[in-house]
Amino acid sequence: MPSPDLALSEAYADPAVQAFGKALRAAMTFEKDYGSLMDFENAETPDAFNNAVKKFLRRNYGSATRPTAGDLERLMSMAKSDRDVRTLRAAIISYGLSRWDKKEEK
Amino acid sequence: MQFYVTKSGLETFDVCRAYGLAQLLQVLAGGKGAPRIIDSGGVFLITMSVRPDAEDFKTSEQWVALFASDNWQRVFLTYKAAWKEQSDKVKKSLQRSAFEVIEEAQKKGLRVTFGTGFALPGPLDPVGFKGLKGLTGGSYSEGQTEVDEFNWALGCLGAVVAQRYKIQKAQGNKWEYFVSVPVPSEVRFGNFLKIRELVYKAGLKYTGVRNAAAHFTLLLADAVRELAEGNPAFPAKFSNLLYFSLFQSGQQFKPSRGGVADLHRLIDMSLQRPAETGAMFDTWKYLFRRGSAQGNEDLAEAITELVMTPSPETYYRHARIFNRYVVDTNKGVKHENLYTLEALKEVMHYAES
Repeated sequence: MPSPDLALSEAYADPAVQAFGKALRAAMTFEKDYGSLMDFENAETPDAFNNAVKKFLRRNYGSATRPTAGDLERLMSMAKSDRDVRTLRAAIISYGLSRWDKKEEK
Repeated sequence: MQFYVTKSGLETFDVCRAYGLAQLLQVLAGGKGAPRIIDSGGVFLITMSVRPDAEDFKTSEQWVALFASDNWQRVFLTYKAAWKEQSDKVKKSLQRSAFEVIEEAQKKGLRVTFGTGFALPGPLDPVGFKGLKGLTGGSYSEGQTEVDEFNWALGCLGAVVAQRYKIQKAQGNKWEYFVSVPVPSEVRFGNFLKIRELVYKAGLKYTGVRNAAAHFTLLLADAVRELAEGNPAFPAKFSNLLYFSLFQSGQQFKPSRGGVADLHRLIDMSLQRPAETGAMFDTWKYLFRRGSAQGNEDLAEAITELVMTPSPETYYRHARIFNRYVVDTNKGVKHENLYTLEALKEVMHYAES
């Protein structure tokens, strides 16, 4: 039986998505890492998403906001289908649209 | 007391007739009554607690003020300089037969008789009218939509009361009109007038009629939220927003694009979760404002699509474009214009519902 589609609000509230969303937001703001944003935006399939995540982690290896191995494992387990990937990338980039304390996160 | 406006099938005209009758009843009740418009499928039902029997309504301040409205010229824009004659005709017609109209509305319900001498002005019949009424090269001609005097006059009055006209410069030094009218599902007329006061004058430079309709939808829902003050049963519920544009072609105005926007969902959210929805609206208002500036049309289009056709796809497009503005050091977005956490969750629910 196919698994039910991942809901956007559900994905957004997930701790692993939150960790990646906040890390991407910090990387864009402090490190000007727009390449990772593009990689996430262009990911349409689980493979492409996997690559985008890998590149992002490599680029931000030393970052204090880097997600944990548990977050990575959980995020990858959520990206099962193309539809899941579209939901996950929307949830991750959504963290850039909300208010946050830059000083605290730095 | 109950009054009925039987729907004719011409949506804009029917909605305007309902508003027109509610307005007339309020004037005839000396401004004391609180007519309530309810959409009951085939008819608009208008209920009233006070007997509308003010014989001297013709000299009342409310009646006189109604005919001083700027909107008359807009409703009769296809008549050009002759708009005043038309508004006088409406006035005389209603003064002569106001009590007859309400008696019929109470007993049998107001039914439109088509083809009986009174031509509908363009903004009341956007589907049917065209600029050219005479013979063309191909000898094609089509008559105007004509209706009976009662309904014509009520429709025109309702259009003046309820239609919102946003006029802006178009290409080639011409003008275009974005017209919209909210369809009541259950609305106390007094509340509608308050909402009109709050939002009808507000406007931006729009990228098109759809952008104008989306912004107006947002303003309407926000005004309902504000007036309801946390009361989820507040009687100002609208189902849809009918909208269309009129553009200048040569010396004539012709209808262009139009459609129906769903108002019900946003108003429901405003009444059920006013705080979260209010926070969401604040960011949306900013996006419309920012999108109205030259060069930011992508932002305007993205938020328009999200408001008009909410879906995960339109949400993503809006998030992607908004994010561009947030990360762009030249453009940038102030902290207070970003979503709060609750607002962002609300947007996601809206996109998924």
